Amino acid sequence: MILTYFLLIAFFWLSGLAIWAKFYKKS
Amino acid sequence: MLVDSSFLQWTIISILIIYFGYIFWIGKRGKVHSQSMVGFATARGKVSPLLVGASFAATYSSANLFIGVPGLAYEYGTSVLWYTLGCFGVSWVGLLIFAKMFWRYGKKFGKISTVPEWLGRRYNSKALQVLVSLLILFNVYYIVGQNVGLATIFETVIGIPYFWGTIIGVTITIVYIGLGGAFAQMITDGVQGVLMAITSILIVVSFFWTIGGGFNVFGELTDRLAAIDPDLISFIGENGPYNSVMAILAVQFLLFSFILMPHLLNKILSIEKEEDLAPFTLSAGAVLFVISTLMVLGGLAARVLYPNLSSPDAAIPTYVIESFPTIIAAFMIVGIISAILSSTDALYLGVTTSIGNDFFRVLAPLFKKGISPEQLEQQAVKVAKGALVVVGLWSLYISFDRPDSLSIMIQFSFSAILSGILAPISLGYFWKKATNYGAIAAVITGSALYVVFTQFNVIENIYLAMFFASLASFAVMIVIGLFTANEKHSELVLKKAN
Repeated sequence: MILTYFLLIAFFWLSGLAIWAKFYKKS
Repeated sequence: MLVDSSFLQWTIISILIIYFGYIFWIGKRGKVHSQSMVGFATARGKVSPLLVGASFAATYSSANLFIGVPGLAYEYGTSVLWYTLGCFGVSWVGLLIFAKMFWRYGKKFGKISTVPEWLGRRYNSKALQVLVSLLILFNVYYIVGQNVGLATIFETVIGIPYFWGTIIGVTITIVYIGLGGAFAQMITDGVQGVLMAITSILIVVSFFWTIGGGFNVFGELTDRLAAIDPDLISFIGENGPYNSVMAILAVQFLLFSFILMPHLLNKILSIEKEEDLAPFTLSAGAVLFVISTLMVLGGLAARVLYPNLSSPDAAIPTYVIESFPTIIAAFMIVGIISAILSSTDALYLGVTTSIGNDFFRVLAPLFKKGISPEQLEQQAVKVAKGALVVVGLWSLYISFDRPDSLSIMIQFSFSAILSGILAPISLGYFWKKATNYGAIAAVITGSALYVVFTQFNVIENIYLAMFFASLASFAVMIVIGLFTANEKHSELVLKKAN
């Protein structure tokens, strides 16, 4: 479960960054 | 035992004194900003957006994440990780989705500083503004949770009895807020975010010498937990609140909406320019990741190392003083205390600002005809400052009766608020037919149902209770909206939106 936890955290990092790049990052 | 306790006590006390001196100094520099109601509440535009992001994360992480949730992990094992996963992942995604819209609406309405005010403007309803400011009083229980957290630390680390610990906790909190104001809060919360991040990282690094096993340290931790009870390493715990897939999904729903908590949204309103939202949201995510996902692992380690604690909430304070040299332990304890204070100050400020700004300032003109706007503004600030002491004493009184689980009590308080405001805020963005009648009914339905579900055990799981109460709140708002939205209303919304 702890390893899955870290993998899911990484997944949320990537999806969060994707949303951030799309809506917030200066073009 | 690595720690000499009288040396530890004095080290902690002296670090705290230096720390409070620093806050007093920052507060003096910010005094010029906190003379008006808007300045008292948000310290708008005077602080770097990167720091506001760190401040957002520091405010997000309270005694719940630093003491309460590790206590749940101590008791129930790895199924609690679903909660902290949501604290970083789902909450950050929620922030990214809501921040821009909330900020744009806030700008459109001119200078507003609180969520009840935002709702009052969006729905053009003073009644809604007053109603939501009363709902925010549920945050008193959130503050009680912070008092209990401080008292638990003092009890575990210094040996002060719980009763006196709560009194000391409330006293230092009130002094701390009195020294600062919002400007100091933004700066110090940013600094606290860094202090909290270091504390969190140290907890995980220490596993190498407390748990052992080299790079397989988490495998080692898992094996030793399983040796105590196989349920401690399951994905879905048989015991505890994370006992079904539905409950775990409802946790994610709760944490997605958690960023709508008034004391957190106030942070977004303090951003001055739209391009500042980019560094703000990125820094909030990065700091939130470190300070929300790591501390809980300390609760798991404490279960392996100290399986016989009298209160699960003592897991982290015990782990810290048993695993680190005195000086480092003292700094970490101050780091945890600052984690608690950085949330408590925002909560107090949120409650008292709402009483001054959304309750007194809206209702006073009804009773005092002909009061001048300047007088009203001055009196509102006075009422807000007086409410600070009243709320402190009220929370102290409730704290004397110690809750079984700090985390569950804190989660009750914010779920009650969120069940009410979730529908009016989110439908307020997306739906033209969201009317003030619907919003008022939604607030009452959501919060009242949540309290009924949990207090009368209608729905035993607190997360499912919040989910279904919110669902009912949305349903009521949509039905009433369809009946009460007329031509005039749609024109009004369009006029506001352009």
